[in-house]
Amino acid sequence: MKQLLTGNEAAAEAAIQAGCRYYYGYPITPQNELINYMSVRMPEVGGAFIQAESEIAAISMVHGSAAAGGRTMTSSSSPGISLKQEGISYLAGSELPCVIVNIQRGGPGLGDISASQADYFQAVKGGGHGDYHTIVLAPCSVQEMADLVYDAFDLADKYRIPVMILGDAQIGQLMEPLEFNKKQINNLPSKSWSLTGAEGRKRNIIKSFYPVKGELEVFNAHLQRKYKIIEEHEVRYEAINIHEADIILVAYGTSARICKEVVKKSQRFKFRVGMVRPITLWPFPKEIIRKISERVQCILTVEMSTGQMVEDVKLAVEGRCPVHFYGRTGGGVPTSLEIIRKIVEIVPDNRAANTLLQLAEVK
Amino acid sequence: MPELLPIKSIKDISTDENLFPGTPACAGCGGLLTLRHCLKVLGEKTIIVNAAGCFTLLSIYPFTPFKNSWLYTAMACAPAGAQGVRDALDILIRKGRLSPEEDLKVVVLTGDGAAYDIGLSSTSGALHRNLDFYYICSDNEAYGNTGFQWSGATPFASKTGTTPAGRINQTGAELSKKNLFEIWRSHNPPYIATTSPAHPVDLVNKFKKAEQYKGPKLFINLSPCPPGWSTDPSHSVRFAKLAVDTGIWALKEAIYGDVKHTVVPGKFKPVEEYLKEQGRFAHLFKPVRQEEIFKKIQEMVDQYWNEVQSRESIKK
Repeated sequence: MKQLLTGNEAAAEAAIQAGCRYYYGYPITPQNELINYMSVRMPEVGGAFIQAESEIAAISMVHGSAAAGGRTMTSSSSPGISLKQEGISYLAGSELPCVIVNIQRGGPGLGDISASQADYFQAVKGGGHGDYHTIVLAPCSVQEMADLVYDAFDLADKYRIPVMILGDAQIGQLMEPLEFNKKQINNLPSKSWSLTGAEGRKRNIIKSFYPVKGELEVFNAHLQRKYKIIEEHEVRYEAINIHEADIILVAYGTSARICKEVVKKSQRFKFRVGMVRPITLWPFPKEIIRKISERVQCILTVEMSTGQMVEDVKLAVEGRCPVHFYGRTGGGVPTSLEIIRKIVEIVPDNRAANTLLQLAEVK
Repeated sequence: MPELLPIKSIKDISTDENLFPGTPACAGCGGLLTLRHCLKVLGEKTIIVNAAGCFTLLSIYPFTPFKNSWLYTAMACAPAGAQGVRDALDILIRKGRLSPEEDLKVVVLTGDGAAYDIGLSSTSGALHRNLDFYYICSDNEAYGNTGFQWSGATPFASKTGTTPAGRINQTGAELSKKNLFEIWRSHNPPYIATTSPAHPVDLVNKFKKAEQYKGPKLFINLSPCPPGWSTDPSHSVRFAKLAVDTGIWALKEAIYGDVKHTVVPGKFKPVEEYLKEQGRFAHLFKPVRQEEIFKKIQEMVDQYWNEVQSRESIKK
């Protein structure tokens, strides 16, 4: 049965269905629908809902409940996620599974409350201190928000790692019909490491503190091995028309929705535009982008930032083809017309691209 | 210290306006009315340090209603921001680049979310260092700017975005309001007071009194919030007055920790009169009257005033 919900509510409901019974939040626009929804639903399923006194408190409550083996989640928006970074680093260092939802808004500083994708660096490069990564999933619809929240909990448990859902104000507050269809995952490892009282077994220790010389280096090497396994197995992306294409758009989340429109429009004019939409921002789908870069004219990255993911695209391309960028900030959302203009700017002699632009401008 | 001459009536309040009309605040905002009163006493030479809250909306330059300067800090840190501003002013005065007459009053302005919850440690630090500043907390008893979620200031049994009253919980907020006045008082600052938009004379006198002291001067103002409390915007002052008349909002001050109540109603009205017209308490009346909760709230108020009476020997 389809339901009409906002992305924020879909994330909350999917988390409950995924077995999340510990949610800690703090109000911040544009993710308030999520915390409000949780305050109603959590008591209904006998879970814990706490509105913490700060974002740092909320992420630390997640730390505690994750250590006890619970499925646990917090959510916030950009400035609040900045505050959580120390806690996220501790969770990564303690190898604790949890889900963090970031419904991005404009920055830096207070910024604004409209959609933005300017937290990409913070999300995929670690964000807090130390050598670590969180798995970062980027939904581009309300349906995908729910689907990825299910997966986020499974991935978190599978690898003992914090997983971040990187949405934005658009995805969070947009209402779309969706269907909750949780898959049954059976082969998840048991949480034998969790702190549940050591009766009848050896005690468990959960820590991120390795003060003895040499210990931390060993631990960091272990983390890196884990990250490598994740990079090998968990990359996800959506590819559209990538064979035959002359130009490839790379975009995620809200930007990807608009790029899809450009791809669709271009098809009628035999203008070959393809698209790669990373679903996992970390691990980044660099292999497919590398492959594409060997045969396309150029790549255009579209973001709602001044150019963050484009750096990862360039790292994957390694100079094999030109990589262009189009971005908007401060509540600006790229339009399909702007993207087509940018394409014509890149390939001025392409007749099909020009026809496409003319028609788009007339409309 | 020269004898202070308190004003007697509303006619004695300055006609100067340092807060202009036409703000993006909601109609009937009790906090905005009080801010207008405050700025009449504080004057033009103030700098406001603000952290995330409803009054963030006042800083949308150039559509700001202020004559004075404005600094915006991270939500947890407005008093720390005030420290930096105060230090900068002190340095300028010491270097002779600013005359002492040109000095500015540093005023922290936050909502209850910042004051009661996330900004408490920063306030504690400023109080401990005896920072010379004003703190105005506009307390509408929830996170208003994000859509009225529960805060540490939310009173027992209030419905908010995150303390919904429903099938599982018929009460609404289960915790009582934090006692911020006493948390502040434990730091022994020179001046703390509670204020109300319904008692501007009391408010003006309190600001005048506070002005004599160097160090932290703190104010908590009960700010009726029509969208959050689900009340008629034209009745905000009446609700503020009812809060005082029922004894729910005690108007008091503490000079170096010595507490005195400044407005004591001759006869206390039952708390129900305050609760009954507010949407945030509607679940206490319908579908069934929750007598236990009325009783509990009335008892909390009575107990408070009984203690006050025995301490301050005032006539109830």
